Amino acid sequence: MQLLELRLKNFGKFSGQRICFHPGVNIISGENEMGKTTIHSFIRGMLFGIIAQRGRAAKNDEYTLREPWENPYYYAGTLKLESGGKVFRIERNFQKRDKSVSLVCETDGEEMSVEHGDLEVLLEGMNEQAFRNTIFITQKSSATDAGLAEELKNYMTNLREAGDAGIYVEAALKSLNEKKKRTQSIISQEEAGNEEQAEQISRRMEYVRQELDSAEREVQERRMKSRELEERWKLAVMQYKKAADAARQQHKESEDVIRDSIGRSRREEAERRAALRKKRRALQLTAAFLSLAAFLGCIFLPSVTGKAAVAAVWLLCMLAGVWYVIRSGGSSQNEEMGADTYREPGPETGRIREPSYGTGTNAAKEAAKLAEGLESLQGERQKMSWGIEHLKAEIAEKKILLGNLEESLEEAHSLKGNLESLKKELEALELADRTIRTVSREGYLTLAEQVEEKASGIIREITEGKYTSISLDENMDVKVNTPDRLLKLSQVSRGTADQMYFAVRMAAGEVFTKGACMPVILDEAFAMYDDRRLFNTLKWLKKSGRQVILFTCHRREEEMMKRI
Amino acid sequence: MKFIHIADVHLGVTPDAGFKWSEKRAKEIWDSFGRIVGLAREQEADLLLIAGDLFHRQPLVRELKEVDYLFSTLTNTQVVLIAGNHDYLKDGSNYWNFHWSENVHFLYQQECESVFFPELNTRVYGLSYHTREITQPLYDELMPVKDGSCSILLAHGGDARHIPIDRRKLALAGFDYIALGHIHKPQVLIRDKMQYCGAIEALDRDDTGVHGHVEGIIENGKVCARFVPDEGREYKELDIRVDSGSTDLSVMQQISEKIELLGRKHFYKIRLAGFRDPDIIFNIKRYYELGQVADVRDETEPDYDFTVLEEEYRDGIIGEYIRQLKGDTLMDHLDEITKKALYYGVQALLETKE
Repeated sequence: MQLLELRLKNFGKFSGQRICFHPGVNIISGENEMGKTTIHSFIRGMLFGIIAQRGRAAKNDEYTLREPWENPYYYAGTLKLESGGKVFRIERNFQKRDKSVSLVCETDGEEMSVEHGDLEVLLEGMNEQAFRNTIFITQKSSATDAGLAEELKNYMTNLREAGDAGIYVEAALKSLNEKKKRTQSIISQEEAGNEEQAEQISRRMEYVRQELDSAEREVQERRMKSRELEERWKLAVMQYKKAADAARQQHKESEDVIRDSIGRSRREEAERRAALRKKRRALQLTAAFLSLAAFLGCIFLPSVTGKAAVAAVWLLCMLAGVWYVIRSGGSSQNEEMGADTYREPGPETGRIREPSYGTGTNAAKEAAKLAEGLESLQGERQKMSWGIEHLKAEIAEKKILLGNLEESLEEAHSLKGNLESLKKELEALELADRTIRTVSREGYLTLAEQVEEKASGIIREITEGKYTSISLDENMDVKVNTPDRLLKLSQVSRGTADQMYFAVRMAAGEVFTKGACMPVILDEAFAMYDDRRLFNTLKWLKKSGRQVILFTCHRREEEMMKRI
Repeated sequence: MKFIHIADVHLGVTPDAGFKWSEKRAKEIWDSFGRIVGLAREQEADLLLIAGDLFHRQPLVRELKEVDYLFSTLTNTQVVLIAGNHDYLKDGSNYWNFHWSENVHFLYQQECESVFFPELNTRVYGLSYHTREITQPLYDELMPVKDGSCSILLAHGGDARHIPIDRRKLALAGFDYIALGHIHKPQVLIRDKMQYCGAIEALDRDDTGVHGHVEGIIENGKVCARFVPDEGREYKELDIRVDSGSTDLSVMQQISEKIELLGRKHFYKIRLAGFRDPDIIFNIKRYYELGQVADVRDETEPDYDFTVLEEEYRDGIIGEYIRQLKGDTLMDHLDEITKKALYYGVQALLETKE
C-alpha cells in the first residue's frame, strides 16, 4: 500500500491543503508550528476516523485538537491511496453531528463500504490499535503499549486464519467464562437444593435425638422412682408379715377352740355318711336283685298277664333306680364341695384373699389394713414396670429411626445425577478454556519469536552490531540481550530505547500484515538518534522498499538521504 | 396351588425427595402394597412370596404392625418373606423380635432354610441378609430336598455386591420356581421358572418402565407364572429428537403434546438428542413445569461438522483447536467432556466472528 495524496479540506489550521507523496522516502521538513503533527494526525484520522470524546475528556481530545480553526462545522478531508495496483479514495466528514465516510475505488469507479471492512482489507487487516503500535510513530512516544501484546494475540489468530479476519481469542475466552459462571451458579443452586434436603433430614434427626434424650432421661428417673418404690414395698411387706404373724398368734387360740368343735362335728358327719353309704348299698343290691328277677320272669313266665305284671314291676324298679342315682349323684357333689380349698395369701402373689388370721381380732384388722396398702403398692409397681418397658420400646424404635435417617442423610450428601452432568459441563468448559489458551499461546509464542527475530535483525543494523538480540516477554515488553545480561529498556539510553522500539514496531508491523509493505509514518521519531544510527536507520528504511513519510524539523534527514 | 410373587416394595421410602409429588408417592407405595395383599385375598392365593426389601430401611414396630395386620387378613394365604439388602437383619432390627401372625413365615437365617406346607406339599426355601452387602454366591450350590414336594426358592440379589448369581447353575439346581428380587425392572430369566418380578412401584426416576407383580400356578409339578403389570403411575422416558430447525418453544410444545398423549398421571424423564442449531439454547428449567417431569437431560449437539471446520480453518486457531482436542479420534469415540469442550470452544471462537 502507498499513500498518494492528502487533501486537508478543513482540518486544524489547514484549509484546502493538498499534499502528494511519492514511493520511497518522503521527508516533510519544516519549522516548528508548520503543522507537521497536524498532517501526521490527519493521516490517521482519515484511515480510522476521529471519535469525539464526551464530557471533561472532550477538552483535550484529538477531535477538539484538530477542529478547524475557521468554520468548524466544515471538518473534512480526503485521502488517496494505492493498493494492489488500484487507486482508492477515502472521503471523511469528521463533524460529530454529521459524521460520514466513503470509500471509492477510483480505478473502476466502484463504491465500497467502510462499515463492511473494505478499508480494513486495504490496510491488510490492521486496526487502529495495531496501526498506532507499529507503523505510525508519534513524536510523543515511540514506545509500544499493552495494546501491542493484545493486538499481537488477536493478529496472530488472524494471521493463521489466512485472511479470515475477526476471530478474537479474548472475546471467545470471555464468552466461555460467562458460560462457566452460569453453569457454576446452577450447580450452586442444585447443591443448595440438596443441602436443603440434607438440612431437613438433619433437623428431623435433631428432633428425634431430643426425643430420645428425653425418653432416656425419663427412663433414668423412673428407674430411680422404681428403686424407691421397691424399698417401700420391702418395708411394707415386712410390716405386713409382722402384723400378720401377730394376728395369726392371736387368732390361733380362738381357732383351736373352733378347730375342736369342727373336729367333733366332722367326726359325727363321717359316721353319718358311713351309715348312709351302708343303707345305699343295701338298697342298690335289693334293686338289682329285683330287676334281675323281673327280667328273668319276663322271659320264663308262660302267661302273658304274668309277663306283663312282672314287666311292670321291673320297669318300676328301673325308674326308682334311675331316680335314686340322679339324686345321690347330686348329693355326692354337694359333699365334695365341703373340702377345704383355702390357700394362704402370699405377699409375692399380691393376691390377698381370706386371711389365715381371721378377721375378728384387732391385730387382724391392723394386718388387713397393711395388706390393703400392699395391694395398692403392688399396683404401682406393675404400672411402673409397664411404663419403663414402654419407654424402652420407644427408645429402641427411635434408635432405629435415627439409623434410618442417618442412611438417608448419607444418600442426600452423595452426588445427584443432575449435578454430575452439570459438573461435566463445567469440566468441558474448563477444558475448552485451557485448550484455547494453550493453542493461542503457542501461536502467540511463535509469532513473538518471529517479531523477535526480525526486530533483532533491524537493531543489529541500526546499532552496527552493538545490540544483536531483542526479546519479548508475554506482554510484549521489550528486553535487550547483551552478551552479559538481559537489559530492561529503562536501563539503556533514551535514544537506544527509541531504536529498540522502532525495531519492534517495524518487525511487528511486518508480521501483522504478513510481510505486506505498509507505509511508515513518522513524526519526529528520530530526534534522539545520533547521526550514525539515524543514517543506519534511514538506510534500512530505504532498503526495505517501503513508503516512508517522515515529518521532521531538522534538515539532517534530508541531507543524509542524499548521501545514501 | 396359586402363588403371588412380589419383591422390592421398599415401604417407607420417600421417592424423588425434593419434588412436589414426593410425599404422595410415599403413600402410594403403601397403598400399592395393600392392593397386592388384597389381591392375594380375593384370589385366595395359597402363597404370597416376598423376595426381599419389603422395607426400604430398618422397619419400625408400628410399620411392622401395619404390615402384619394386612397379612393377618389373609385367611387362605401363607406368607413367606426374607430380608433383603435394604431391610437387612442388623443387630437390633425390629424384625428379630416381632411376632408375626400364624400365616407369616419369615426366614431369618443367613444360611438357606426352608418352610414346609404339608397341605400344599410345597417347600419354600430362602435366606435373609444380615449385612448390607454379601459378595459370596450363596445361591449357587443350593439344592432342594428331593421328596416329591414342590420347591420354591426366594432369592434376593444377583449383582456383584449382593449375592452374585450363576443363572445357569441355579436354573439346573432343581427348584420348580425361583422368585427373584433386588432388580427393580421386571425380567424373565427363564420362562415359568426363574424371574425378577421387579419392584411393585417405581421408587424414583431411575425405575422407568412398567411395574407389577407375578401371579403363578403350580399344577402337577408344572409351573405357569406370568407378570401382571400395575396400572398405576409409571416413569416414562421421553426422547425428543431435535434438529437444526428446533427452537426452545417448539421443543416445549413437543414435550407438552407427548405428555398429554401418554397421560399426565405418569412421571417423565426427558432426554433431548440430535443436532441443534448452535445458536439455540434450550431453557431446560422451564421444561420441569410441563407436567410431572422428574428429569431433563440435554444431550443435543450443535450442528457442527468438525472435519469440515478443521479443513476450512486449517491454518487458523480453530483448526489448531480441533486438532489439539480431537486428534485423529473419531467423533463417536471421544469422551463426553472432550466432545463438549470441542463444541463449546469452537462455538465461542466462531461467535466472535462478525
